[in-house]
Amino acid sequence: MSLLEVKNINKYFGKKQVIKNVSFSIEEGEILGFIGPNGAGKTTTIKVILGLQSLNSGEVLINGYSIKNDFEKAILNVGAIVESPDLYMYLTGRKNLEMIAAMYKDTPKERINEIIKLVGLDNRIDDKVSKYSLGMRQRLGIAAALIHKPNLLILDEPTNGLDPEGIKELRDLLQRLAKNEKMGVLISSHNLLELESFVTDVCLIKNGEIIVTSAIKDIKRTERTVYTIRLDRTTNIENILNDGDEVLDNKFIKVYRDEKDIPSFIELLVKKKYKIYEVRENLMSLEEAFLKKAGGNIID
Amino acid sequence: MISLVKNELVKIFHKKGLYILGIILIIIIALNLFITLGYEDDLVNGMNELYYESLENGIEAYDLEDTEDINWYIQDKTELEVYNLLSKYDYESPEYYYIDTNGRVIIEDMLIAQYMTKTEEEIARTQSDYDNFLKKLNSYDWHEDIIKERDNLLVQKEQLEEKLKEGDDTSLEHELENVNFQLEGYKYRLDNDIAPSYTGKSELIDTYVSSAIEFASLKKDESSYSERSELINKRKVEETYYTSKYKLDNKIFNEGYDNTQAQVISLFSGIDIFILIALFIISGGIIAEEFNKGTIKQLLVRPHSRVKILASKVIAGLIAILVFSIFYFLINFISFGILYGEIGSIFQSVIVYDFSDETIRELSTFYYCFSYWLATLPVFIILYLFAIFMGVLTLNTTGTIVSGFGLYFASSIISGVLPSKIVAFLPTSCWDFRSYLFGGISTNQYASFGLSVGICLLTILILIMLAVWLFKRLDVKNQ
Repeated sequence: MSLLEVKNINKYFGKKQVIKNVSFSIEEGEILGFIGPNGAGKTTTIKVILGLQSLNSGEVLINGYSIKNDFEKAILNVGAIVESPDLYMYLTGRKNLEMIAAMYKDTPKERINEIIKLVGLDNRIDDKVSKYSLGMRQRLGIAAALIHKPNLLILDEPTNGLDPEGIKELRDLLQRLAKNEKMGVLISSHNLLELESFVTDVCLIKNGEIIVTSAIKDIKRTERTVYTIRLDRTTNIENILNDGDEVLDNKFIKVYRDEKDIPSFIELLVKKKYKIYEVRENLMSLEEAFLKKAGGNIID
Repeated sequence: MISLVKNELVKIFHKKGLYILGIILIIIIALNLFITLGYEDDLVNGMNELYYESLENGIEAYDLEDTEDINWYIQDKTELEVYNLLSKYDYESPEYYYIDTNGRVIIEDMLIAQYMTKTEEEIARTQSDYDNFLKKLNSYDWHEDIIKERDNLLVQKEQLEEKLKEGDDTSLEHELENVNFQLEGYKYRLDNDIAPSYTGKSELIDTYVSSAIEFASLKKDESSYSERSELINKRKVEETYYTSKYKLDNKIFNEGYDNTQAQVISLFSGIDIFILIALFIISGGIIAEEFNKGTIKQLLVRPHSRVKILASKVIAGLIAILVFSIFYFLINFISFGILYGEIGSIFQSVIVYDFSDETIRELSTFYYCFSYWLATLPVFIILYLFAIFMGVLTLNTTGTIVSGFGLYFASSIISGVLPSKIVAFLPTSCWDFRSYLFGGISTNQYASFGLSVGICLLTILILIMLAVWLFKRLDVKNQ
């Protein structure tokens, strides 16, 4: 049974459809990067999953329970930060966590200290949240999401406000939780670069539609390979390039080919009287590979 | 559920709003204490002195040849003379009462004779009246006046009884009844040595005599009253008559409003604006603020249904209002104790006339106040639930507070404008049950206790259902 199953969900704001047949799932130990530009429908999808917004059709199952019909059971093992970690500013960090812990049965008191330590807020936990930096609030938000030891963690743009060190800590924490606790994680961002080093799967959303869903391991090495070729000139070379290939300047071109197709392309260049000085193989970033797979520039 | 309510209470009592209101309340009460205890007498005396000083200065400017000026002169001069006389006596003394009720006319007559009539005979007569008045005042014995008046009444009584022997005459019977009531009053004064004065005891006798006379003249059969206002008036007179009679018979004297018991009763008798402010601050913040600040998400992603979450907020809000009310009453009680003393007076009983069985009841102050509190409770509950509903509907704290106050202040205007038949069915008219206390009736002839209970319960149910229905369907909007 999947930790999270999102099946063909649709959501309208008035007449405008903002989520179109969105489907994906998360299994134990999986970290799914939910990527898309601002306004693509990431937050709305997450809110629908968490029952914060109603859905017009489709189904969301968490641990086998429907969020619509069996909300309390479905949400029991979910931890979430949506948009920003909105906590009670006039209370201390500890009071915030105590209140959240009180909403779950059988959360031992020691768990609060344990989670404070985990997010590294030991020194400031008794200060009012209004005195926290944005990064500290994110940490407290993560603590609030993890306090009841959920098996599914949903984080909406959690890297906002975190410095590189904070992002690294978050990455380590999520990897640890996924590996050791078999926790499933849905993490959204408009920037795949931030996530590519630790997500196991990626789901791209644009204009409310899922463009592509894929496991990182399924993106073949060949699909991520690009060749930069140095020539004597690039005049009229467009005639022999494929869609997506690029003329960088009057000496360089960038072509996307499988390795097996490179010799024939070189042959073609020679036939067309181009002098070849260098053929270099580069590995695309995950983001570039996905964009290419999706067939367009979807990221802002 | 309990943990949710506890959480809500933590939030409410960690916010500044209620504390600011509490501090404002303490400042107002402290200021009142400060002024009353330290400066009230000086202030009142100072104002009086200023007023009479201005009269004195102004009086010299009048042209005593001018008729209009003379009128003003006589009026001001009378005021000054009376003031000068009154200032020599204690407010509660019989002399003060005597001057206030008799002196003014004597002085005015004398001045009219001197400045308007100007006949020697009239001047001499009024001067003599005035001299006699002063002479009597110097060694004033109220008993003489009362005995004299009693004897006059006894003569009148004999004459009336003689006339009545000759034949039935309703007006004569009424007159005789009035004379008897007055005689009863005089007897009570003489037997218990209660001088005519501005004291609770003396005023109680006057109240009894006047209400007895009025009550005797009223129709006793309530079904014969076609106008509701006349029936209400009859009941007021009836209540005053029976309660004052009971108090006199049992020697229970209420010394006006200057005691802790009377102040506590007055505090509970009304709908207090401070409690309303607290109510709207709490209800305004409880839902709308959570949505505005995004903190509602922390609640809605937890394993509790929205109904439970809303219920916990409503219950916590009610508890907070109750706590604030207790604080409010305690603060006031302490200030009453400091101002008026006689804290023990709250252990005296309150005399109430119960229309349901037409008996007098002696109630403890606590029971009496609790009854009033209970009678006004629907006002607070309906306003509170209305504010909760508006909070869910508008998700706007200021809008919630304003609409709540708007409804409260508009309610009396609406009741005044619409026909009574419609008003009887308005929740904002039915929510106040004070008029039904102790067998009482509403001022609206179409309203009844049962109808009001039904409408209030229905309103409460509708407001709860609407709030729940809306809250369950609320989407947390994207920021």
